[in-house]
Amino acid sequence: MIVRPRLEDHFVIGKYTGKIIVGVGMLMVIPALTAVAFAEWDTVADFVISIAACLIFGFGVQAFCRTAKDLSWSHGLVVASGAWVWATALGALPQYLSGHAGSYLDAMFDVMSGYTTTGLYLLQDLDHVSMGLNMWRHLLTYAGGQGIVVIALTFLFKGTAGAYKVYVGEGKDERLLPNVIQTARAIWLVSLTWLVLGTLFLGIRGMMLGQGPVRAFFQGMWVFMGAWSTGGFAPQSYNTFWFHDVWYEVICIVIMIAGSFNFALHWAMWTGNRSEIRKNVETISFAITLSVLTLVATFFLAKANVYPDAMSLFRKVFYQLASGHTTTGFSTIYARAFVTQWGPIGLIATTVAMAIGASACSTAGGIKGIRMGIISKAFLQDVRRMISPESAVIMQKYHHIRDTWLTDGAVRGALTVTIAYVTLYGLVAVVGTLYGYPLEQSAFEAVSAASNTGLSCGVTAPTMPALMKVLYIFAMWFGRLEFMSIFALFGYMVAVVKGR
Amino acid sequence: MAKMPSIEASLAKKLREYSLGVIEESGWILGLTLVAYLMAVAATWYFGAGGGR
Repeated sequence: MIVRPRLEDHFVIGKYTGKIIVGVGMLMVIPALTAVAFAEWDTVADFVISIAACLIFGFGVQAFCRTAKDLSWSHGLVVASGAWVWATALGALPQYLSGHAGSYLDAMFDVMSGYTTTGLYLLQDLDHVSMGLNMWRHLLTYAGGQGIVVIALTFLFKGTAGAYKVYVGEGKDERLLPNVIQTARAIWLVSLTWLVLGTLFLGIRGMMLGQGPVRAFFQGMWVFMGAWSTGGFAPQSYNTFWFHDVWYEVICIVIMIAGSFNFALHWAMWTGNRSEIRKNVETISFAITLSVLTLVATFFLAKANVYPDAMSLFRKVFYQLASGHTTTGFSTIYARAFVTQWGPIGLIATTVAMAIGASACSTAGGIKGIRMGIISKAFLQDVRRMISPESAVIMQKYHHIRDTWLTDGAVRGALTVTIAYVTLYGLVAVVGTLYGYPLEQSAFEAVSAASNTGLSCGVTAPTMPALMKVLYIFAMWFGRLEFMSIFALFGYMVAVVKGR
Repeated sequence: MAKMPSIEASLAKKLREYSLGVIEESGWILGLTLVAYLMAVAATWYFGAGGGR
């Protein structure tokens, strides 16, 4: 029997959703101030309207849903997944009001892409977007990378009893410190450290390339936000290809890979455990798959004589694959070059890299290295079992922060989520083919959206069918939250209608 | 009595150790990829670009 949620349940969910939306409104103050600094008064007006909408909604819902009840697990999951929908609907206001979005759906597509650190975009005339709106786009992806809930936990939640439940609902389950709010703050400490260093390096390089200090600083910061959050947004329509600079690309690669590491791994490094990076199952899995895919793509692109020399070949192959594997979505080739130059093998290698993705509890998406590691270890365990005497007890360990024995439960969990991802990739790809896109291109774009990567081979465009835009929005949302909290939200909705 | 290091100095030291640690310790990932790349280039040289040997 499905139990219908009580009024108190709605109130708890409303109260915490309201808090998170207030957080989104407060986040808009930064781009609004940027617009003021650059005297972009139309943009200032867009943000004032948007901030007002968020605060009225957020405080209004909190005032209406007054309750002393704390969150349960199901509440936490529903808040986490539902808040992303509300944050997208209201966060799209600045994009829509700017006139750069063809429709409200396009604006929502861009905002969901930003929050989920995907990087696909439908904004038009991107090269002439205002400084304030560019700040909002990149802030979205930076904040989304840490998690909207992490922001709220850091600044808005006072009690800790229910906080962990919302935190887990957002697809993060590592506790770096015993207290979840301290964990959220530790995540911010690591991210802000990288923000300062990354902006500094990219800004200096931008100035060396001839940009003025202000432009170099802002573009450096935005590109950093796109790289660290594995989001892939950039202030130019040519993405990082615009810079045509090997050192800019090297800095981006370092930031992308660091951003794709598990926050627990960063915290281990922060607390002095340097060897963790060499032993961790996720980094080992990442290095092996990246190397194998580099080998395959290099071989076929070299045979096809696509690039004039070995250095150009390595520069292009490694950058696109590292970008795909970390689910960043930065590119230094034209979108259509994936089809016209890289061909089916290059396209498939990049698709596989995106599908696997990077580390759990990071800013990255995809199936994740830890699941690949666990499944590989389980496979090895079965092989060892087959060649050992029947009486032998075969145990297998994997290392993630600490050594852990491989259990059937861990393998089942890894396989369940992997199957869910593969199913999502497949379903979205099939819809693309029904609209007439070739299978490999449709699969590339579907995996890019659902793994929150953002590389495009040209399918994503303002002219694509509205249903595909909606489907990609759902795919990005499902992929980022890793299914469970969204299923909890749907279950909650069913319980409201059918429960007794 | 030994002088206590200032908060700024210890934070700067921590930041330097951490950021250098991440970059130094992840160098092997790039190394492994370079090996894969060299293998691919060698294989291309062996099989010949643009078709089979």
